Amino acid sequence: MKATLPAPLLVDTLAHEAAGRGWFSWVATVDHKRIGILYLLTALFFFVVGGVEALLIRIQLALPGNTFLSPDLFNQLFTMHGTTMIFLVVMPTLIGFANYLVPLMIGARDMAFPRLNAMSYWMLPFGGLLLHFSVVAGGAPAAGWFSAAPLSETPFNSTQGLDYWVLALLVLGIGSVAASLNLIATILTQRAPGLSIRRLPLFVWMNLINSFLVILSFPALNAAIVMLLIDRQLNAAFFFPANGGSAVLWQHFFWAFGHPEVYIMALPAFGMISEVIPVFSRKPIFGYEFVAASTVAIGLLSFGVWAHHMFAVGLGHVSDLFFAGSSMLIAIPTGVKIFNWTATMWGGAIRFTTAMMFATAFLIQFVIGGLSGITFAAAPVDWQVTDSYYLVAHFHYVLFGGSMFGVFAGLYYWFPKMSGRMLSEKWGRLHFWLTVIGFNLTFFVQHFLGLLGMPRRVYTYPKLPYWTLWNMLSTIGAFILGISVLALLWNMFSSLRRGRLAGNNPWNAWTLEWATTSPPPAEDFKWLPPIRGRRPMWDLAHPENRDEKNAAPAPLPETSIGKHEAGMLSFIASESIFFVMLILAYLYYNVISPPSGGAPLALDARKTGVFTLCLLASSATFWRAERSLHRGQHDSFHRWLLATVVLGGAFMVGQGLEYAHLLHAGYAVNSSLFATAFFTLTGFHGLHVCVGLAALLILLRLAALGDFRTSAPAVKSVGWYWHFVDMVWVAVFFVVYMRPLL
Amino acid sequence: MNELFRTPRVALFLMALVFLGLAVPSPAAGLVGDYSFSVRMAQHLLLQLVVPPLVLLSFPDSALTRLEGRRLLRPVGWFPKQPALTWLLGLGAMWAWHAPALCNAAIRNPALHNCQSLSLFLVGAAFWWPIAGPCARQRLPPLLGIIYLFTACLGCTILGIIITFAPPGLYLAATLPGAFNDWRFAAPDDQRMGGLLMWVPGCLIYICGILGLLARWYGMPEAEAFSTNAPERMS
Repeated sequence: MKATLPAPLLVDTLAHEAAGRGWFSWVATVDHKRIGILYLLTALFFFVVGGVEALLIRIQLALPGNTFLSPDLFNQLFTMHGTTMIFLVVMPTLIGFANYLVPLMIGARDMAFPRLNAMSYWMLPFGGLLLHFSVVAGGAPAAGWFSAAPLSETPFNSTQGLDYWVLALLVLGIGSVAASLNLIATILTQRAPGLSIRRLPLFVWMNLINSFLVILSFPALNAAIVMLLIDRQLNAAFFFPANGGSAVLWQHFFWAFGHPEVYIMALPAFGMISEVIPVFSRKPIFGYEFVAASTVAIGLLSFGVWAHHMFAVGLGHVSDLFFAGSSMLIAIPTGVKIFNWTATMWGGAIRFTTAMMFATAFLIQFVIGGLSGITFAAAPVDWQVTDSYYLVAHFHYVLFGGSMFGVFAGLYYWFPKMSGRMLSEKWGRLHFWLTVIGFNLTFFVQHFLGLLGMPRRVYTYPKLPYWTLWNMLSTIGAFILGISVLALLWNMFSSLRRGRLAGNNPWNAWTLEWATTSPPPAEDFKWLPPIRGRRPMWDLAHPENRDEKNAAPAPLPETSIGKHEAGMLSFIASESIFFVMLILAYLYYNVISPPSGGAPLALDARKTGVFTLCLLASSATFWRAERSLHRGQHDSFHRWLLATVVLGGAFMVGQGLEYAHLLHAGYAVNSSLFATAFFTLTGFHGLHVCVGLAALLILLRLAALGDFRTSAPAVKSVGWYWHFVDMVWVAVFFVVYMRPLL
Repeated sequence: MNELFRTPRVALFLMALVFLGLAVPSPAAGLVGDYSFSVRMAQHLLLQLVVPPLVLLSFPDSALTRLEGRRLLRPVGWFPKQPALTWLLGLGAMWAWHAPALCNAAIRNPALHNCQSLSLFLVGAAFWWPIAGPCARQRLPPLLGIIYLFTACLGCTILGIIITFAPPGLYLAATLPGAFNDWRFAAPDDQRMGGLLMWVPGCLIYICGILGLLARWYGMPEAEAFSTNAPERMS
């Protein structure tokens, strides 16, 4: 492959690989643009799959008492539709756009970690395959996209479907977290000179905030689903009330992830809208600072309101009161955004291109979804309409009428940059109107169905007044929506072949991605305009009327953090949340709500204390090793590193002895909830120690080979990880071994 | 003198006084605090998270800058420059005073209660110094300040969650017979409400702090906004 290169300006080996031709060059690529396109194509494929699933559901519901689908198949279809659309369509689409655009918009050469980027992408088809493999392995998962316990436990879902669901979500979660920490490191460390964080395009800013949401919320999901997997595979009972577990805890864990996830699917779309509306209104965004800061507010609030998904659980009036209040607060920053976008359009010279039409429809539909969302924040209203079609209508207005419309706006806006050709406006308009009509017909009537009392997730309904009419209308709308997707596909297909050539900047837009060719060369930029404000292309075209007149011409001092540090700190933050969740689970089953019957494990705090000292000492030896490296004393570095490995190994031996002792005494993972929580927490910590040891051994090997050229940041990163693992053990030791002695 | 009496400063100071009044001498704090854990919790939150930042923000900066160099104040000046220490103090005090043993002891013993109130206020002042302190040079750069507040919020939230879901009857205040029995506000609900106060409104206070930092960051001149070192000039 490499031999046939047209040999443009190749900067390094990464570009060399990326610029290859043939299908294999797409498999082996580490170029962020190709990876972004791979994300988008995969998401498009699953969009069609999930859409067909939705159409099957709508056919079944078109008439009362329909027998088109069996009840079980219906359950599988709505579970797969939800899971597919969330994890295989919306998230990959948004990550794909971020992958393609963020490096371009910040004037970078590529992502901070191109190989990690490729890994993140390949987790997506892998996860998709795992999820869909369940279909041939006995049946797809059938417990809804949030797999509520105990329905998701083995006695009620005995096929392998849910196990594949868990594995697929783990794989997809790893991919998403990796992509997000890559985005964080990229945005923090790879910006072009002059592009300060305060000048970031809003799409980039929102992706930054969004990436923090991803790395901090996915660990909650991961903790929940590994616990579910332990229940299903090892006969434990974390979430199985019949054996002492707590089904409510599943909901807490899942929604601690699930609510931030709602914003994870919305914020990047907000970012797209924030790019599209100003360009087609010919005005800079109104109140940049407010849009940016309200994003932070939304992100922070999203972690504190998950219990509003649980009003129907029976948490008590006091809890409901607090979460109703905090949930309503979210309307403030979201409202601020809506006003900013509207004010940007106000008095602008609006050009209603297809992208702008989608953005405008987004505004209206997202407000409808937001208003019905506020009604859900009132707990008594929630009790009436939760799990009815009113809810289905609400979240489709947010996710389709909001996020997907934002994505369509972004697609029409950036397609010329990605392909070099314009999408047809004629077909675009057809696509737009079919989508608007189809979408509103499908989902607006579902508000009425919900208020009439039609429950969701039930395969059919009796012949009641108006139910047939609304359902039939909804199904007709769904098919119009299906046809609209065909119009989009045809538009993309035909425009790729015969579309008008785009040129560098077809929209007369202002951000950096429009400064390069369409599509951009492998190295992204041959030349960058000077960056002295938020709209470098505007400043370039209007030097007499720049946005920031007094901006310094010299490059600004940038963040002092390196990409390895940024990446490792993000990873550690993410892992911390994972352990916080496991420790909370341990506390829940041991202190807060211990199951009746059985007794806590008899643990020997003194013996474990000795091995704890080993682990703590290993942190000290690593610190010495790093100091030696800093001073260039390689032998001493080698010795201290070896000591670290030995001490870490000693800790693992200690844990092994303790496990052997406990197993010998008759405790097993499934013998009681105390044991399950203990083995899960310490087991996952042990796993992390092993990962740390593997990294240390690699360093040791490199040190033995005398390779110190690139290892200083690597040693630092591994060191931070190792200290982190030790700190986690201090917390675990206190909670598990010391607390009972207090 | 003009600077001393600028209106926003006076307003902040008056707000601090109002909240302090609510937290310490008011009938709610004095009478109900002994019977209700959630009122106690509100008192603690006001003392540690609301009053200190308001007081600090109401200080005129020049006065403190002049005092800063004095030899007498040098050891005191060192202390707020250690954000890791103030962070640990803030979170540590919050966790320690809500350990059931200590919290209940403070209910039985009024002297210990006074000690608790005073220490919460002082620790609160130390905690907020790197964020809202009057000496701009001792403040954390805004982006680090956001991390400082976010992680503290997380620690506070976890404690709130634990108290919310803990078995009822941990805290003495909540179980003493008293006024609340007539109000049909059951002891388990009282404890839960205490936990929720720390979890939800407690978190909102930190979020307000973070938004305040963002506002300050957007107001800074470019060259300062980025450095992760303390800004050199006085604001």
